Amino acid sequence: MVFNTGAALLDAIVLAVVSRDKEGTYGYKITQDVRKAIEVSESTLYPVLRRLQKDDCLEVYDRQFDGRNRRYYKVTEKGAVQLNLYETEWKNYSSRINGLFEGGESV
Amino acid sequence: MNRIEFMTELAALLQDVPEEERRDAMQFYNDYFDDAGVDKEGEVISELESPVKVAEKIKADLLGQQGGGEFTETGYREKESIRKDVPASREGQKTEYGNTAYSYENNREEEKKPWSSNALKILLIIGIILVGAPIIIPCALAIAAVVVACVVALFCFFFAIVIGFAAIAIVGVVLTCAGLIALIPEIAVGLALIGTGLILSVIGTVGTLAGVKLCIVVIPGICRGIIWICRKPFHRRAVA
Repeated sequence: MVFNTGAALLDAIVLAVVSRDKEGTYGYKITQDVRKAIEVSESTLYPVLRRLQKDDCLEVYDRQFDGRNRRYYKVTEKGAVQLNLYETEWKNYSSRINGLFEGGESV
Repeated sequence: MNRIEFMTELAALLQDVPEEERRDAMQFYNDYFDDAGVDKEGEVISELESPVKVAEKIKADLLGQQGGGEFTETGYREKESIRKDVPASREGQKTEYGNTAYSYENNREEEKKPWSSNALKILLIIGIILVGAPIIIPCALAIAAVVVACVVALFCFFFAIVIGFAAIAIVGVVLTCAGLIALIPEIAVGLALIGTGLILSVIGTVGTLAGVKLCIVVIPGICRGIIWICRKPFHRRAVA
């Protein structure tokens, strides 16, 4: 991909991926899902998850799976608000860029 | 590199981040390998590139949050520069004055015999000072500075040996402790850390003791050498 994914967009994508599972989801699955959408190295995702967790946008809990504890991530209320904000911002941003590309009215 | 090696190296690289951060990261990547499954172990490792890279990303993010933590490095550097600069310049000047004074006196005594006239003698001294000063003083200064710098460097070198080995010993002890802590969630990582830690502790302790012994032998020798060199002009003068 020729466009860089900035920190805010990465946060938004991770929040969106995590919010698709109401029960919460786990690190490996989040990484795979994010990588379906954008090219990002696997080692980039952990710091993002950790940061979102510290900012109270994500909460973690451990659940038994296959005889071991697996850590799950879930979007908090604050995280949902944040995701909403990102989605609105993205709609504005992308529609303006689209407008430019498609030669519509001046922005 | 397999999973256990990867995790061991990552744990070692994360020794300088807060305990809570390290545990969280270790748990994440441990889960990650578990969820990827044994079949994809190699794939995951090649995708993650290296423990160094993973650790760097974790640390970079932590630094970004805390607003940088380079205070230790600058602190260390400042200490170093003060240590090197101050004694070199001050002691250099002292020795330089001592040396030049003696060299003039020697010259004067040699010239004394053929020229018996007082006026000529004074003129000669002034002449020598005028002609010689611009050359002798900077030269003496430079030589003295080099000598002092060498002595300081020698001392620092031996100190560095001792401190280096002491640091290895401390790292060893810390690693052993970290290993003991890691033993509960992860036996392999724990054992590997304990093993490395014990080896380092032994190397460090033996090295420190050897270094201290070396210093005991070498430093008095250097001191005696310096005293001998400093005394030389006095002795010569007494003989003359």
